[in-house]
Amino acid sequence: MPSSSLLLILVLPLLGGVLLPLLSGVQVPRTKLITASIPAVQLLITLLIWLHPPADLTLAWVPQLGLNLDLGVDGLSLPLMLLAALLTVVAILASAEDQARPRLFFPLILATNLGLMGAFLARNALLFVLCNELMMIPITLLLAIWGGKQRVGAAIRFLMFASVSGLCLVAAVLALGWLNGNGFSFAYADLAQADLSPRSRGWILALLLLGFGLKLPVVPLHGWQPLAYSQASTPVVILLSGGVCKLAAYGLLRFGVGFLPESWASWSVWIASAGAASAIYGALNAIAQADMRRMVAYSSLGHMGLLVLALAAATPLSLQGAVAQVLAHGMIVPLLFIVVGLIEAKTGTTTIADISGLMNPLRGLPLTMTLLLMALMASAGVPGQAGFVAEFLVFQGSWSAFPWPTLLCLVASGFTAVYAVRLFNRVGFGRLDNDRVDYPTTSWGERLPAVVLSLLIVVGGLWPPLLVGWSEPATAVLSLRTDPFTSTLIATAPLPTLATTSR
Amino acid sequence: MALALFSIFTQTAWLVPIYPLLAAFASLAWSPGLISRTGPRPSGYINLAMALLALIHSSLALLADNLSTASAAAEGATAIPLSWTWLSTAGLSIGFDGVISKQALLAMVIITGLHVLVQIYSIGYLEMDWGWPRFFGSLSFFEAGLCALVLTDSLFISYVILELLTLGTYLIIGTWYNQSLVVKGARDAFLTKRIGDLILLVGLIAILPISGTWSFQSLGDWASSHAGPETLPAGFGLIVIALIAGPMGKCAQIPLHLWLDEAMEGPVPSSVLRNSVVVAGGGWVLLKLQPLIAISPLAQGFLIVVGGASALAGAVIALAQVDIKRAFSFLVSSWFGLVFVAVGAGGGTAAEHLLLVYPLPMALVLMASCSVLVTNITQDLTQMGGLWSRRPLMGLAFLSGAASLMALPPFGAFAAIRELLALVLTGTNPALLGGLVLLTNALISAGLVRVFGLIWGGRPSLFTTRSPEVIWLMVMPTMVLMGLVLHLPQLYVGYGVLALTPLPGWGPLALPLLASTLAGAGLSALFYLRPHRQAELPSGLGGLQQWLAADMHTEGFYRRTVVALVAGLARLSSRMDQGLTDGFSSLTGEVALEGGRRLSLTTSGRSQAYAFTILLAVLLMGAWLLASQSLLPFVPLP
Repeated sequence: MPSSSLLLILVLPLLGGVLLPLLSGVQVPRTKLITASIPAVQLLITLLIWLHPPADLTLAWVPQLGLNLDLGVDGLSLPLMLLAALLTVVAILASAEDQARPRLFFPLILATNLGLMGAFLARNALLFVLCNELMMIPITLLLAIWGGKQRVGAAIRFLMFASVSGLCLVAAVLALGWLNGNGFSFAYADLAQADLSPRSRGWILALLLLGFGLKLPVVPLHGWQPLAYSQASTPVVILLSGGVCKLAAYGLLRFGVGFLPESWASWSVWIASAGAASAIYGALNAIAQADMRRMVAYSSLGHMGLLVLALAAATPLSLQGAVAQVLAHGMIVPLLFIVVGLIEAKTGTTTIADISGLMNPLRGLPLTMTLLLMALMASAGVPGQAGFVAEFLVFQGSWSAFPWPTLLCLVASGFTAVYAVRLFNRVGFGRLDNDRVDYPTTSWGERLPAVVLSLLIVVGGLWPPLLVGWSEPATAVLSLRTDPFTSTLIATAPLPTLATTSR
Repeated sequence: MALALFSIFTQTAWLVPIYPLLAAFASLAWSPGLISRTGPRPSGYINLAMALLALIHSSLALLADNLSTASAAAEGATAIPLSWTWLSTAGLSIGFDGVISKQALLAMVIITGLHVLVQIYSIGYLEMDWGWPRFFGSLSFFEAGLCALVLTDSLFISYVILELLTLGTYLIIGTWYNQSLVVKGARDAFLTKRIGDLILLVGLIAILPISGTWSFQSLGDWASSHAGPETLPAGFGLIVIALIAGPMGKCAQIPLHLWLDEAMEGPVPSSVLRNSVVVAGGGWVLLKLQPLIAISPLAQGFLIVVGGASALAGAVIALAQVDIKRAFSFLVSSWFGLVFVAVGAGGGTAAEHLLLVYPLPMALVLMASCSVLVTNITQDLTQMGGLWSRRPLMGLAFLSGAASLMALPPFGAFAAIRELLALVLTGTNPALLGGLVLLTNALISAGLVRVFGLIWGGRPSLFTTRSPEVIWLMVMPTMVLMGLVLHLPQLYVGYGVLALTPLPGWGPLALPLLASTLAGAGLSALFYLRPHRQAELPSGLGGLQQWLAADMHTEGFYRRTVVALVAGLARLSSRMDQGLTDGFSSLTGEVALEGGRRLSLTTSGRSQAYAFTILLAVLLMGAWLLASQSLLPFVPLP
């Protein structure tokens, strides 16, 4: 592939976002299709890029500031780009058939996609931060204009947290570039060999942890998340939970583990503990929720805890687990939100106590319940689905480095089963309420996004290369510790020996 | 030539789990209502056909294996290894590594055979039900899982299968999901078994860095090279106990026994299979772990305590149950208590034989008694009675099954229990453990005779005076199974599983064992076969009946401890979170608003002023860029 294909990935949503508002008199379903075709083409291009990797592209932009259009892909960014493109398609398809203000809504979705793709493609820290900041605007608008009753409050809260996060990241990246003893540059290649004093490394890592921790989010920086997730409309929450938050995970891996390995290693006990605390806290809160959306929001918080644990451990296996968790969770949480959105659309409520017996094959929502059960079990880490592969790799990879936090995360995984079963027992099982059973059935158009994600989740569980096949060389280079069993296993099994470099 | 042709079945025995798995997936087409024009019944027939296919294949494979073993000199020469990689990343390679061995083939024949019989039985039992696709699909899912479990040699894959079966249990108990007891039973089964599974997961994660392998065979080799306790890493005993937790949950051992009793709310055929082969799956994994257990005295002691407690408590609790199915569920815990004791005492062979003689008779007693339950509309033992004159065939079937579950020669269990008795008498603490085995056997015998007496003995009750005929679809499989159960000892001796024929090799232990059976069964018969018998224990025993009937109030204990703890923590963290998020946000919100107010004082509030400021900044920035930049933007850099 030519290098310009990288640029094309960014040009497509930009053009789409500019041209879509000019389309007047086009019906919403057609607008949906036109818009969805853009990320679909992105998906295709990204797959082609995977088959035939192009050389990195470097275009001058504002060289005095160190800001160049450095674009490139590697094993870390490519799977996340695929995920982002896929989720954009899914989000557009999951939008309502009578989407209000489509000529504003869809361009904003594409703007979010542009920010995401730009951040993943960036090989320049300043460009990454710029894209990250750019994304904040459409997301805030999407939150504020479409959504539940408290949407404006949710949007303002999101904006506040995102601004603090953005400021921290800008400060961290500027410091990374300016304090580098080898000369001023923001290119990833230079930052990976940056010469920084231990003191400034510590400060930069603190800023990065705060910045990305707010976005991911990690307890206690999650104040915006339950409200935003419960108020956002389905397409927005898909992008927010599956794309924007995963960008923070990518940032932690790329910047924290990649650029500041020494500080990361010396702080990793605390990072792992924060991860375990998030996992337990998120799962316990999810148990206590009375509203499905808020339950999913807290469940997502818990799963991000596992991711943080894996990043802290930073063994080749745990980093593979982290990437797998980003991909698996990036599909599972959107699926949960889509299904909850479908239930809300048909029953008019997301309060758990108000619905029951939806498994009923004639008057309930049997297919939606099948999807809900799948999504819940995937999130609870039941084997056969993508969530299990990711969680298992996280646990196994982190065990030798941090046994106690890993054990806590395993307990949290047990709590996951509690809220999953609690939700399904109430909503799926039980008697159908005769007073309100005239639920309209879901159409195939509404089911399609959920079915696509479900299939991918099952494929990922049965065929793990879908989750771990992209990033192995990249994570092997980034790993800071070795897995204790690697040597014994390689002695018994003829495996390609990986560069398990420990720095 | 014929042998070579035949051996293809053995070599392709890995296909056996695939057939029912395909059927389970095919059922999905009916379950969420994708196909509705045909009604639900085709899904049941597809599952039955696939179960039949699996039975035929596994039987032919076993037959071929026997022929080749007979011709080959060495036993086990036909063990065929299987290997298929599932995940390989960062130096960790996991696959479905398995061995097609004689034991695995025999176990598969038992599993698939029982599934065929029970699926026929289900067609009769669920005649009018609309939950066919989910139910039959779940049965096939279990069949596939169990067949895969006996084929695999990997601890990891065994864990995966146990965990999947936990999900299957949830679904199959939930077949009649609109009843509140069913919903509760499904939830408790899922959560209890998941606790066991998760502890097993901890164990298997912890053992990999130590042993470097998950293959049962290699774990056995590793264990034999670490025979001395001083060469074992610290905490090894705890890891082995964690590994045991999985089988503990599956085999309903104290304290994870609660679920099996509640699971009885599901349809009868699923209970038949659960009590016979699904719980035995847990026992199978335990057997595979035996080499690891053997080098850890801590784990051995743990197994004997857990198994002994479950064996005794289960058998005693069963004596006080008034629900037919629940009486059996506690007998299951009791029997597997004996298996745990056998493994704890180092007797792999005795445990294996206890596992092999158990599934068919247990299935038979459940099928026989539950056929009666359906036609008489009640499963309350106190409401039954006098059915010997009306339903004698089912009574005979029950008696055959019951006789094969107590130490009564020449029936199946006698040889296995005698092996266990011989084993514990040679170990440490022979008096205590020997007494335990004898007492458990007496209590199990008493429990079985009690159920027989309450249903078939005595005079007819209101519910049983007009007991209708049982549908042939339920009678036929029960009768076939009865024939198999009665021939079980001969079959096992013929296939070389049991070394001794039960009759000639009585030995010195036979007499006390027989005495314990006769004492338990005889006392129970005296009490429950009378015309005016009582279902409940004598009132002279105080509140014992109540206490035992309520499973020693285990459920209430859990509700007050574990459940209350989790619920309390959840509420606490929820309250904390409200304070944290709302408090934090309102604090920052106030700061922001105050900042904005102060900032607003510095401006005039006119839009022209804002526009001017922005324009000025843009112009200044542009000027600076143009002045200092020699390159044009968007040109490729070298």
